[in-house]
Amino acid sequence: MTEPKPSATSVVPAVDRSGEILAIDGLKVHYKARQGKHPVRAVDGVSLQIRRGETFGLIGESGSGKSTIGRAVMRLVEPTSGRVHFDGKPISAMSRRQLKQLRRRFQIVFQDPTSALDPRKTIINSLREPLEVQGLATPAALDRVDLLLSRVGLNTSFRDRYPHELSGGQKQRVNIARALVLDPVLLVLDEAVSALDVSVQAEVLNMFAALKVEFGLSVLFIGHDLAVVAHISDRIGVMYLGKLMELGPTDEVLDQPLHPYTAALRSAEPEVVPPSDRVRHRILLTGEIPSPTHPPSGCVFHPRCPYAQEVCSTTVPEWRDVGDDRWVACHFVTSVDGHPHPTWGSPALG
Amino acid sequence: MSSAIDGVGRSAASSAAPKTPLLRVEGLTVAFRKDGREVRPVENLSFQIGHHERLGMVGESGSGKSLTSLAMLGLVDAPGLHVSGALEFDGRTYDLGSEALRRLRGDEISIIFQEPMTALDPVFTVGHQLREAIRRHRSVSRGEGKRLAIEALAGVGIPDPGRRYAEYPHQLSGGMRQRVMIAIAIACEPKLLLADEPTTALDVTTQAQILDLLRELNESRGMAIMLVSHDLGVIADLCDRVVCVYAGEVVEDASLEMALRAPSHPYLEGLLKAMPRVGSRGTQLYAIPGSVPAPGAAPRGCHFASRCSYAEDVCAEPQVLLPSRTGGSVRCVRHGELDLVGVSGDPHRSPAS
Repeated sequence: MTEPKPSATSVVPAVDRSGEILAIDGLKVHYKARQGKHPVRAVDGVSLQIRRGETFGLIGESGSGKSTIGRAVMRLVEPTSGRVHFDGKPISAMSRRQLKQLRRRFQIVFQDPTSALDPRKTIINSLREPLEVQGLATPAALDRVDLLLSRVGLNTSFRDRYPHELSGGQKQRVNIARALVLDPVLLVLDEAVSALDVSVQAEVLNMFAALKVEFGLSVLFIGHDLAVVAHISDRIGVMYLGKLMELGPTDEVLDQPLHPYTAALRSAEPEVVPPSDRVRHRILLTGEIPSPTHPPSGCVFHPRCPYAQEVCSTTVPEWRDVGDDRWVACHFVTSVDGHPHPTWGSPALG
Repeated sequence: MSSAIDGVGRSAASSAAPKTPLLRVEGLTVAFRKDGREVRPVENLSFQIGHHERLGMVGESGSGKSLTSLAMLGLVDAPGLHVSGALEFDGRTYDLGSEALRRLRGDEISIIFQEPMTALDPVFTVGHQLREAIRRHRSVSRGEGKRLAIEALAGVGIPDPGRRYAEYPHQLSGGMRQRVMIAIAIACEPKLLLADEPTTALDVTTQAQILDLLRELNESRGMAIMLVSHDLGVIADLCDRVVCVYAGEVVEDASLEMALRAPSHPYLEGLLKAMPRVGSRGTQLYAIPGSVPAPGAAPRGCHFASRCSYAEDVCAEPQVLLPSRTGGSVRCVRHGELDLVGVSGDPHRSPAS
C-alpha cells in the first residue's frame, strides 16, 4: 500500500487505514424510464469501500452514475439492490427514524451553490436549520455556527445577508459550513467546485483539504474533471455507464492506467503544458457514450474500446483485484504489470 | 531560463504580431449608466487575429471576454448599452455600432456558442436548418442543398449523415448538436469562426473530439478560429496564441508557448498556479486573493493591483499595454522586474517507456 508522497507543503495527512467508514456492495440503482419498458441502469453493480480519513474520488462522464452513487449513499434514492453500510450499519435497510438519527453523521454538498440555499433565509438561519431539524439547537451549538462561518472564510458581516447578496464561491462556502454544522464524519461532495472559477476553485479545494484534517472527515469526492479529482483524492474510482472500470491509489492509476477507458480519459484531458514540452498523444475515442437504458452487452466499454476482442462483446469482465490495492474490470488485465498492449499504462500513448 | 525565453521570444514575436491581420479590434468599449455613473465592463480593448490563426481569449467570469466577442460582432443590443470602437476585417474598417457589421457576420465571420440546443430551432430538422443555411449563401436547388447538407454533416464527423439529416435537434446528443452547429457555421465558408465556450457543456472525451474537429477545419480550410473560454486547458489544446482578459482589459497577449512557460502578467501567472494538475496532489494550490471586481469597481490604476502580490505604488497609475520580454504585450509596468513562474512538462513524468 502506498502512502501519499511526502511533500513540503503537504496538507494530506497519513491515512488511518484501520477500517472503512463506508462500504458499498453490489449497488444497483435502476430508474423507471419515462417511456419504454427498459429501465435506466444508472448504477449497475458497484462495490467500493471508503476508508476512514481518506478522500475517495469518483470520476466519470455524464451518465456514468457517479452522482447517483452519491445520492444512494445519502439514501436520497433507493437502491434497486445491493447494500450500503455506514460505519458498519446498513443504511439501505434503515427505517426513516433510524436514518434521521444517523444522517447527521454524513452530509452532502451539491454543485449548484444557489439552489441549495433558501433565498428567503438569512445565511445564519440557513446554517441553524440543520440543528433545528435535528433538535440540537442548543446555545453552545448555535455559537459553533458562528465559528464555522469564520472557518470557511466568511466574517460575521455575512450572518444576516441573503444568498443573492453573495458570490457563487461565497455561497458554496456557506453550503460547506452548513454540511459541517452537525459534525459529520463523512462528507459527500458532488461536483462541489465545478461551477466555480479556477481561482475560487483553488481556494475551496485548499479549504476542503484543511477542513478534512481539522474535522477528521472522510470524503467521497465526485467529479468529472480529472485534474480536480486527482488533486484532492487519495484513491480514485473510474466509472463508465453505471460500472466501475478501475479503482486504485490516485498516482498509480493515472501514471499507469490499467483500463483502456482510464487511459483514454487521461489522454482526453486537456493539458496545460507548453506545446514544446508535450509528449502525450491522444487516444481519440470514436462514438459517444451509449444510453444507460440499453447498455452494450459484455463489457459496456467494448463498442468504443480500441482493443476490444470478441469476448468483450459477449462476456461481462470480472471486477478483479490485481494487487497493489488496485482493481480493474477488463478481460485482458490480470495483474498490475500484465499489459497485453504496449501502449497501455502510459500517459504517453500511441 | 532567461536565455531560453529570449531564444523562443524572438521567433514568437513574429507570430504574436502578424503584419496584416485578418481581424483587428481597436478600442472596443461597452458602456452603460448605473446610478448616474458610466460603467464600462469592457474598456478600450484591442487585439488582432492573423489569417489562419487559432487565437484563445481566456478570462474568468466577469472578465468581459464573452461581452467582447458579442460586441465585436454587433450582437450586443440591449437598451442603455453603448458599444464603440472599430473593427477592421480583411482590410475593410467597420464602425462597431454599424449595420454593415451584420453583413459581415454570417458571411465572413460565423459564431458558435456553448449551448447548441438554444441556437438550433427545435421545430425544424437539423437537415432543414443546415440546408437553408447553405442556400442562404449559395444559389442551389433544394435537392442540391440537401446533398450538400448531408455532405457537410459527414464533413463534421456525423456518422450516418443521411439518417441524421431527418432528425430533430432533441434527438441528437450534445456533441452531435455542436457538430451540427459547426456545420451550419461553416456553411458560408467564413474566414473566421468565433467559438464561445464551445465545449464547456460537453464531456471530456466529446470535448476532445470537437477540439480535434476545429483544429482539422482550421488546417484544411485555413479558417481562423477565435476560441473564447474560461478554461486554459481547452485553449492550450487548440490555440497558437493567447489573449488574457481581466476586468474588461487585455492584460497579456502572447504565443501559447510563452503564455504558459513564462507568463508576463501576474494575473496569468496566478491563473496557471491555481490550476490543479495531475501531480499537484497533496499540495496547496495558489489562490488569487479577493475576487474579480464588478464592472466599474476595479481600482483606477492597474485593475489587478488590489489582488496582486507584486503591486507597488507605481501600480496605482493607469496601465498601458507594453511590449513584453516574450514577444507579446503585457499591461504591467513592473513586468520587466518580475520573474514570474509558468508551467512546463513534468520532469518526473517520463514519456512512453
